[in-house]
Amino acid sequence: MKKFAMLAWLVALAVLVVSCAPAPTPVPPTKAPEPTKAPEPTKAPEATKPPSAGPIKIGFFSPLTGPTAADGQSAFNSAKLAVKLINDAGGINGAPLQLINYDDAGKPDQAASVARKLIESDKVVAAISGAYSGPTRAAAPVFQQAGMVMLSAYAIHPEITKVGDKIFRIGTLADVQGKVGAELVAKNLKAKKVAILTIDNDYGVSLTAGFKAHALKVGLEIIFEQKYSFGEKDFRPIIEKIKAANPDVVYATGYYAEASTLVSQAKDAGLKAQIVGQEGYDSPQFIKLAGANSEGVIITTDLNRDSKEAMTQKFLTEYKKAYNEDADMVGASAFDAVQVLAYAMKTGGTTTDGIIKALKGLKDFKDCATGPFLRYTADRELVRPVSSQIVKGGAFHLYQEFTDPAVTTP
Amino acid sequence: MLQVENLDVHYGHIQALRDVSFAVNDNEGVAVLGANGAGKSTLIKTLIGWNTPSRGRILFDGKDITRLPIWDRAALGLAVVPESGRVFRDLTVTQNLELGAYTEKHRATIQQRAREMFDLFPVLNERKHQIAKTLSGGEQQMLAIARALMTRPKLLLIDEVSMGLMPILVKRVFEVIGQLRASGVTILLVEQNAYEALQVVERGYVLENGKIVLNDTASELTQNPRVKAAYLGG
Amino acid sequence: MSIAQNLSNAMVLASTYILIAIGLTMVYGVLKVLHVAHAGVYASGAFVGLGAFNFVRPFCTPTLEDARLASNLAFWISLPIAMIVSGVMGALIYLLIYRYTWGKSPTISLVASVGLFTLIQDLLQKPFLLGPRQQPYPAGGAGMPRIETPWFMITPTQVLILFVTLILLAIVYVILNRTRIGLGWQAASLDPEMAAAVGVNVTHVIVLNFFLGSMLAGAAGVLVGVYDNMVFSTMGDVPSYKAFVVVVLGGLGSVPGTIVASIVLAVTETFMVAFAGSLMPRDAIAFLVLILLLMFRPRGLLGRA
Ligand SMILES: Nc1ncnc2c1ncn2[C@@H]1O[C@H](COP(=O)(O)OP(=O)(O)O)[C@@H](O)[C@H]1O
Ligand SMILES: [Mg+2]
Repeated sequence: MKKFAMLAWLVALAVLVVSCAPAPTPVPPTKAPEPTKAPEPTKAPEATKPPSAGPIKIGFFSPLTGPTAADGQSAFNSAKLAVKLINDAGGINGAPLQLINYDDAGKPDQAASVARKLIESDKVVAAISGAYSGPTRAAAPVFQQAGMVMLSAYAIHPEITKVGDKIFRIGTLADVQGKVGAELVAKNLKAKKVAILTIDNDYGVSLTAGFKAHALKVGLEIIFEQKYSFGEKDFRPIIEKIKAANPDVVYATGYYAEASTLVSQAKDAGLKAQIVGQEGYDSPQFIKLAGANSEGVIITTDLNRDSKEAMTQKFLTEYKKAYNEDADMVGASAFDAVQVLAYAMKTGGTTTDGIIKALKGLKDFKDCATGPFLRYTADRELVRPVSSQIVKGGAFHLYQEFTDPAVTTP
Repeated sequence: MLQVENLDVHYGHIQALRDVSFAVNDNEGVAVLGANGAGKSTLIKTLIGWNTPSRGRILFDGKDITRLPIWDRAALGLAVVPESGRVFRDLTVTQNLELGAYTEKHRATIQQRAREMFDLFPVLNERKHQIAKTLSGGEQQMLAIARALMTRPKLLLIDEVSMGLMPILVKRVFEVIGQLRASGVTILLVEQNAYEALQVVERGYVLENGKIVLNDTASELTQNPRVKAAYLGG
Repeated sequence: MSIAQNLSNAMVLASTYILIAIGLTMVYGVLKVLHVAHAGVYASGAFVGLGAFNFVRPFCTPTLEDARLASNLAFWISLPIAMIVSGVMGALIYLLIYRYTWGKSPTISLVASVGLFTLIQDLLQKPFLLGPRQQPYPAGGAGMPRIETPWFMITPTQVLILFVTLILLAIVYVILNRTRIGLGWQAASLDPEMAAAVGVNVTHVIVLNFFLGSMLAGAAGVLVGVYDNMVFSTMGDVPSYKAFVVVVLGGLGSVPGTIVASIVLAVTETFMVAFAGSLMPRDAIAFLVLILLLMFRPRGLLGRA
């Protein structure tokens, strides 16, 4: 009886853990949505038709609840902002854009079912993922099989675009961003010994892979490597080890919550090594949470707040005006996804083929916050300069822009 | 002192007490005799409030306590020595006694009472600081009685105090109960061991299948052929 | 250097586990209920503490020109406020929910508790409360000193956590072991029926139980919020199951067992991360320790047979 009670406890605990743990690695997107009889997305009236046409629906999903809700909200807010600006300027050749959005709660399975809903019930014309890599990977095959274009705003796992010819990316591919990180560490910081900390999910693992591949070429020595879990709050034991290894630079993948904890605990423990992060850190939240401990941290990212580009500045000011907070990389990428999709529909019409054709023809696109976008590669990755920023005086500022095609071409 | 009227008690759809009525007067010892499963413990549990009757009333000092919270009954002067004692096993002897006087707020009074108990049960005095579960069965019964006496209860309820004890201990425990009676404590005890019980009380009832079937003085009951046959082994 | 430093860090981590888990142990001891919503009280405590801190700080600033002093004062005001609100919240959870589910099947209480936990988190995530973002709780060390030794260093915030934990444990110890109601609590956790029969008002004892345990959870929320400089609506997620591991590990219902288990778990986690590297996620370590222990000692470290 006693034993049984104990067993029941353990089961209860297990259930709890499973239901509370942040979805780690995504379910492989194998389960094909039942023989996709998905009604061929009803062909929206040709965009070239007069303005009397109804609104053009585009699908959007991001985590609005759960541990990554803040990013999901930023992305959603920015997408709404883009739609508003576009509609104020006359929409897509006269037809207004309509954003249809769902919450994926940061969960891959929920993202896949949301994708089906967007396709089958909402009959959207194309979709944008404002989600993390895990959920985006789960949703991509659903759109691919339904023959619908999906743009991944800031999910940077390499597998996403490999799903098929309908899946495009806005953010900088993890490999490229990792590569730029290694370039920065070797060339700009002139460091030799690197410690790598990897957040154990699609995002972190793919960034680290990109970093390590390039690190060998630029002569970096990786003297320490360790993984940690999403949501980690205690880096102290790892920091002790890093201190003992004594690297010049710590390349640490993660999001702003983990990153702010990491840099603060590193400072507390007296770790002297320069910390280099990437776009996951790119949020005013990072500076808010880490306070003075964020000073001097360098990251690679897509959003250059010091950019002279008109659209970058317009996005930053309009966002602040609309939501009374500072914009972040996640938001900028979602904004750009809408901008790029709108451009494609304006030039190619609202059919999948038209959109793809227009995307492939995209050249030196500057109507975006994180641009300029030079072109799409055959693998549907954007060729674009990658920025790096340093925290100075409580704000992100340009550290170095990377434009060398040898480094930035996916 | 205690008046029980038409008590019915159920466990689910099993009825354990049927229309039970009886009384205990001031300064009186009363025994309820019954075989295993007759409903004796159910009766005690209902009186202290662990069970709720489905019908009937319990009056204590003229006050209806049928639905009174358990802890308020203790404050009115009801104390219990439950089946197998139920001492607080992980607490010391002294703590058990202090808990017996939980309704008493003055420390000095509590200490005074504890000293009285140690006089009454010298074996407890020797084991003051011992954890209750390390006491022998007989010692635990003594402790349970002492704990119940700590409040100087108006009515002491005792449930089969002799159960599971060696014969010499049974004798010793009933000696103590006899002393308590002699000193004027009102007692209701339920027992299978009719012979010992009838030695220390004035009146008795016989409970069979949840019903009271006999009611007489202790001496008459000792002579009653039915009681003799069923409970006195003769 | 590193081992001593890791040990001292682990003791701080253990302190936070202790504060969260003691309330759970106390609730389990008396009610035999899996009080999952306790982690919601913990997050709420952090939220209330932060709210009080942000509210009070501007009032402290004009009188104390030193911003650091003002912030310290604001922290010492926010901590008791958070503890009292958490305590009341815990007491209400008992009075409004468990009082009615107690005695029915334990699953009912568990389901009610999980539901309540989710509700609390959803509420906290509303924009008019915490919102979806992490909020900083920049109280630093609240005036505590930094301790430097040749072998290890304790930051002011860590000193703060150790200090507050010790004080609170001492208070709870005195209440449970040196007062009348504390004795009643001990009796009720051993045998509630018998305790009631000797006159212990079990409702009062349980309310006290929830109040004290939730107060500690609220303090833990505040301290962790300051330690991580981060308060957020889902901060109870990990404690919601890790505290159970601690409670089971310690031997259900045993307060000293909970303390020992917290230390064992924190030290194991710290050294596993430090020496075994990426072998497994940190939170899996807790379960590994639990399973291993239950294999050899099914009643937990200090559990009753
Ligand atoms: N908790 C219970 N649930 C169901 N039936 C019970 C319970 N306790 C006692 N009973 C039943 O009620 C009857 C009276 O039991 P009890 O009062 O313990 O008898 P006694 O003390 O005279 O041996 C018995 O038939 C017993 O099986
Ligand atoms: Mg019985």
